[in-house]
Amino acid sequence: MSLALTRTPSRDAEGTRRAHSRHHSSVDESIVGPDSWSRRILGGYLPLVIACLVIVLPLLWMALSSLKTSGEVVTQDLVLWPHHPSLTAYLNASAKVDFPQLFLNSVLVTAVGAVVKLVLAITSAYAFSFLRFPGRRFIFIAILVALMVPSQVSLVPNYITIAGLGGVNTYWGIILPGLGTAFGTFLLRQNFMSLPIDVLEAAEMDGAGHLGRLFRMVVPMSTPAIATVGLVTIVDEWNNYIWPLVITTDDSRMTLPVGLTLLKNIEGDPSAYPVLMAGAVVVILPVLIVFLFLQRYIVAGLTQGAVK
Amino acid sequence: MLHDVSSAAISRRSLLGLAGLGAGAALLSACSGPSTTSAAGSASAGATGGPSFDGVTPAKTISFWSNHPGSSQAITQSIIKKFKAQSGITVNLVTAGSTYEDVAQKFQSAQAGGQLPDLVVLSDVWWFRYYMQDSIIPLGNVIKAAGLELSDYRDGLVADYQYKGEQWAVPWARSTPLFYYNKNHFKAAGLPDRSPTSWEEFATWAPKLMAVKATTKAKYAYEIPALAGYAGWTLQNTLWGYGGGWSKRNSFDITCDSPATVKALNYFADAVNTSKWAGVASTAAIDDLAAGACSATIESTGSLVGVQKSIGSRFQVGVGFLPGGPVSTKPVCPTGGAGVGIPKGIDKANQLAAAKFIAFLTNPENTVDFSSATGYMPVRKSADTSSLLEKNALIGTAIKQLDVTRAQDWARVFMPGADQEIAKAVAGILTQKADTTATMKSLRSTLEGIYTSQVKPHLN
Repeated sequence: MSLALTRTPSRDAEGTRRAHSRHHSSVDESIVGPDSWSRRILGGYLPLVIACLVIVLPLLWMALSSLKTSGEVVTQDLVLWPHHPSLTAYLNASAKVDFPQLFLNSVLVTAVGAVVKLVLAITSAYAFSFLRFPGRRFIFIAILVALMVPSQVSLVPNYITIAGLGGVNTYWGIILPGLGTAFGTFLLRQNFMSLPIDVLEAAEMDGAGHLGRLFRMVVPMSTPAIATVGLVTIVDEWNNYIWPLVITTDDSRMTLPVGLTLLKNIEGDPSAYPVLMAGAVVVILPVLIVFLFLQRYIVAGLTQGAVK
Repeated sequence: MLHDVSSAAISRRSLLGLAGLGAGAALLSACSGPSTTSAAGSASAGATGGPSFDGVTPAKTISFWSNHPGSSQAITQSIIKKFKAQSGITVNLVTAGSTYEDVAQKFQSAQAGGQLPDLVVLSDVWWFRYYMQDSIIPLGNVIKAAGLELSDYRDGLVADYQYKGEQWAVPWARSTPLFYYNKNHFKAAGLPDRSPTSWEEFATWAPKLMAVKATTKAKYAYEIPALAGYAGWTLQNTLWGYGGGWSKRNSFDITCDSPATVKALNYFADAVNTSKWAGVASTAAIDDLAAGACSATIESTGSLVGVQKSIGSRFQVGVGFLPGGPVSTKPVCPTGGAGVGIPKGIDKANQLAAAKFIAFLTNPENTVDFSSATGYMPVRKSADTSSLLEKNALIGTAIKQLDVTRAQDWARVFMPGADQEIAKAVAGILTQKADTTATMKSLRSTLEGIYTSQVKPHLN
């Protein structure tokens, strides 16, 4: 979309709108015709609206289903709004699952895990981008290879290691194996490589060391990439299921995704859907809040310097 | 109580070696669940009844790993409470996931790294892998020491866990498939209020059910349970009725490409692709029945309570025995669900305490309470089911059907990953119109490959 179309029309001293003459307009005439609005809607807004609906509708459906009876969920008739909205499903879910304890466990594991992961990713990426050391390329390729290996492959070796160190059923046992993040290192390294080198050289001339350059120059300039990695890491830690399941041997150490299995019946149970949806809402809500908080950093960073 | 069976210290070299082995094993397991290879070697030969328990005193605390089949956590906890009051033994109930595959993943990892439970849920398709890994004990001696008498358990259910003259698990959360039908739809079609005696009979009923589609709003007369789930389980019913099966009875001799099996599968292939009175469920057929989208389906007895709760007063659900076939009308109902077993490599005191808990968990009174809460079958002959029938008359049909059940085909339950291969093959036939004979021939070679590489080396 042309920038001129999105600018707020300026006003002259008298406060009247300055007319944009077609002759003086820098806008391509082909998009200012009578069908420019329809083009804008079809080419811009409509795909955005469709994309939003694809993302939002399942979440909305989940939230509404948690307020319905199972008969309103399992039916051929489309029941959009519950006839008698009720929190029964939430009460049933909390009777089966110790949400406060599980929530606390998940917050602890996610907060510590995500922060350490992010710090390691930032520092590793900085090293790969700006430091010269032997075997740098080889190590980076090894990280890329690690990115391609499914997590299931490391499950047994990780278990053997953590069990040997006495970490079964401990918070650190849940957190430790996931701390090395190939994805974060790769993404941030690619981002750091695109930063203007002269800014860093100027900082070096001013006597800034590696930490100074990293935290005063590189990190502020890479806010969107760091926020993206942070968000992905938080979601990843929060949703992690198989490792916390395998390494915990006591329900008091379980994280939310593991605890939610208590709401699921291996036998088909059509009556369980509202309770499952209620549980899903409880798990998803914190991540949505984190996303809403972080997305402004992503957007702000992406638009930085876009307009002079 | 957990048991550390790993060495106290890990050397760097052994750690790297184990990591390499673990990576290889996990890579294989990603395809078909945890593998059957074991450091302990293959299963021991000769029926011994397991280790001796003379002079052993039961431990005071044990752990029980369960996926809470049938949403059974609350009822299991209440049984545990009663057990503690009676015996003084504390049982820690640990959530080991939601599926039997989750339990397997956790149990396999524990064997590699060392913190084993004292009691673990063993599903119909998993216990034999543990036998081959030599990771569970034969229960003969330990249940004798715990004062448990197997003769009171339903014969068919106990037999499911027997191999080479040994008992490897005790039945607990046991189910069978049931024929579920929408009574209102059947009435509208002028059909009798019962399940069909044979699949041939249902083939004559199906057009009548389809004829009243406008009234009933059903899309299909019958819905085949989701293939990605346990297709191999419910389809055994039709295969047996036609004189076929995934393998010969109590044998590893694969018969999935026999004319009888092909004929049975063609019955459904025709129903789905030609006559179009049957559909294939994408997730859970029982949900579609509850929604009124199909008139009949086959599902586990464990779904009964949930279905009744969900439909409320919208319509009446009926249940009946599984239909027979042209060759056999009974027994054509496979057993299913899970039992409980005791791991190897833990203290005898804990094994004995676990056996005492098994005896209590599955005693006549508790098996009825468990059935009432979950919809699973009472596993004891002497169980007084009158209270169950009072509460839910339909469960009586499921209990009666236990007398005409048959142990599952070994090709399905004793071969790692066979269930997924069966599901893939059946999906090809029913949803992609693949040639039945060719698909089953291909499945046969796959299953024989699994037997040769993953089962045969562990049998002696």
